[in-house]
Amino acid sequence: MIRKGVPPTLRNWVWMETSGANKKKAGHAANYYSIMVKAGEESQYKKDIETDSTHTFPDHPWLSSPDGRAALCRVLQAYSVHNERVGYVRAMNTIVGLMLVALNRNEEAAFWLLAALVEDILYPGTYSRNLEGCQIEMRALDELIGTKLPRLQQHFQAIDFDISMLATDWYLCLFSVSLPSETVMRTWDSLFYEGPKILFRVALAMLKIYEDNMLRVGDAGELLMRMRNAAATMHQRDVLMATAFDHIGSLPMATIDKFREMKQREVEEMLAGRGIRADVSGGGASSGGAAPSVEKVKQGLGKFMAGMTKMAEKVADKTAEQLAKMNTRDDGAPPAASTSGAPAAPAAAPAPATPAPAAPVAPAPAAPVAPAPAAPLVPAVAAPAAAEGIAAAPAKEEPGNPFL
Amino acid sequence: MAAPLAELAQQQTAKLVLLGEMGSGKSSLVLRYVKGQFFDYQASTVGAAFLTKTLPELNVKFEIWDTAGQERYHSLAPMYYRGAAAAIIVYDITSPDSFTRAKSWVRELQRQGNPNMIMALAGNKADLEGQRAVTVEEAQAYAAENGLFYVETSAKTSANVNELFEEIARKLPKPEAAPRPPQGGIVLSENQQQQPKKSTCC
Ligand SMILES: Nc1nc2c(ncn2[C@@H]2O[C@H](COP(=O)(O)OP(=O)(O)OP(=O)(O)O)[C@@H](O)[C@H]2O)c(=O)[nH]1
Ligand SMILES: [Mg+2]
Repeated sequence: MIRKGVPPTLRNWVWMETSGANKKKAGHAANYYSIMVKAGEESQYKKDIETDSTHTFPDHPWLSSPDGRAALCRVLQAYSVHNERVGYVRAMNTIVGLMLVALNRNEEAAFWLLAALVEDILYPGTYSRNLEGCQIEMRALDELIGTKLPRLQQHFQAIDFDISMLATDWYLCLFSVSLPSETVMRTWDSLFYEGPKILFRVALAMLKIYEDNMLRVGDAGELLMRMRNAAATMHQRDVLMATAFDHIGSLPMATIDKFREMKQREVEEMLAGRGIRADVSGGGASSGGAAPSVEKVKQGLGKFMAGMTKMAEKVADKTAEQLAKMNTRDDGAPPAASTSGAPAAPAAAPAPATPAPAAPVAPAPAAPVAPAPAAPLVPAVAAPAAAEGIAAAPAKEEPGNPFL
Repeated sequence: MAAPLAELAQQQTAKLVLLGEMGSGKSSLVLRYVKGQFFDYQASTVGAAFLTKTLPELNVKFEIWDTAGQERYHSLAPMYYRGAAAAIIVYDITSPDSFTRAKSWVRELQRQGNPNMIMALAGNKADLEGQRAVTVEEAQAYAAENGLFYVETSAKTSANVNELFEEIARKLPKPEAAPRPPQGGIVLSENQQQQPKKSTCC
């Protein structure tokens, strides 16, 4: 049922449980978070964090307000002192920003979720000094493309397109700046519950859905921008998830791990060759604390999840309704979804994200998604959308397909 | 809009990469050049951005890769500068650290980059004269030593921004003189064979 999406109202609870964040929190003193907040005021990353906070979803009314920015800074600074090894990496700002919105601004929950992600869920070293873990994941993805979508891999090689160009945002920001926020929520529901394999599944699904389109683009830069644009308008969460779970085929963890091992050596060699000392020591917090076993939490969860399904469905109906309203604006543009919900609605409800099958989207994997508006995911891709104006331009040429 | 095919066929496509310390103004320079805009709250780059700009007078189409300056992203940079015909290394004239970083980028490109790469050194934020921490003389001397084209720019006032890019375009080896090597090397293809590209310029 998690794969179908968690109702927004339950998200806080479900994420905290499935991710192991609750367990992590329980392993520390009750006032641990407030201590870290205090200590975070002296964080060496304070300046970076403050700078980045000024353009984290700048179109979201609350996140761009002094209150929202302050909350974001508090969580990130607290985390940077809690986990000194990792500190702060740009990308965490968008993850935490979206969490705060989804979790009704619960800063402590966002802190522990980030901890669970960085320290237990994501591949170790994802945010390390040279992003080794992230690079390993992206190279493993490349191998998986070779097995699942071989034509595409050949094409990428022919046009000198490195999948990392596209996937850096995916693996580092966990899609938070790439997909519409409702779609991110769905991805995260699964990510917290099933782990980093989901990132591969969703990545492969995006590539599979747009494979034919990509095969027709003979230029790496153009392909990147078109794919980013397509991702930014991927409102068809159900299509994406169905592709990720049902059409990618089996994806045993053993295969992923085999590729990771191979790629770890490659990345170490690459760094050594460039005179950079590799730091593959993982993302564990220096300040320690018993790492909770995500597995265990999950086991106990099965029962609860089943009982919750009914309640979830009720809520889902309601949110579907709200979303449907939001999705049909006069100009026919998809909602400037992202974190903001209806951007006009001042800092109201938490994330508009919904597990409900979104009414307005018609599944058609080959040429999906509604016509891309000029700036589809304004808040999420925010400044890049402005900076990389071409992202939107191609959409005009072939309405109906955001890719072309 | 799409240029007539005959014209496109003559056009030289050049890959251009921007490197430099975070916050030095890479994205701002590109945005100023390509779209004539400037934002005080320019979003910091994650990964890289890609933009194109055509200079009809010089028959050059720039494919511009704007990279992320944060130190952690450093080891991802090669995939962006690989095969680049030109690089702009940006520093902030108010920040000595950013100048140091610029030098280390130059060294890296000299070691790992395309040997024929045209390198430009841009001392950005020249409008902040009052806070200057890197002198023109120092930068000029360094640039001369290393064979870099040097200019001080301001993405904010747009001073020297067009000049910077245009000078690079003029310095590009002509396509006839430098046919495209099969792999790596300079990417100065005449309109690449694979696909007629849709123009995304302007
Ligand atoms: N005064 C002044 N400010 C500038 C200039 N160029 C950029 N800035 C400002 O400097 C800040 C950083 O600019 P960016 O263009 O984002 O810098 P960047 O090099 O792309 O940074 P990263 O993406 O983090 O690598 C922004 O707030 C800009 O508004 C300039 O010429 N003058
Ligand atoms: Mg930038």
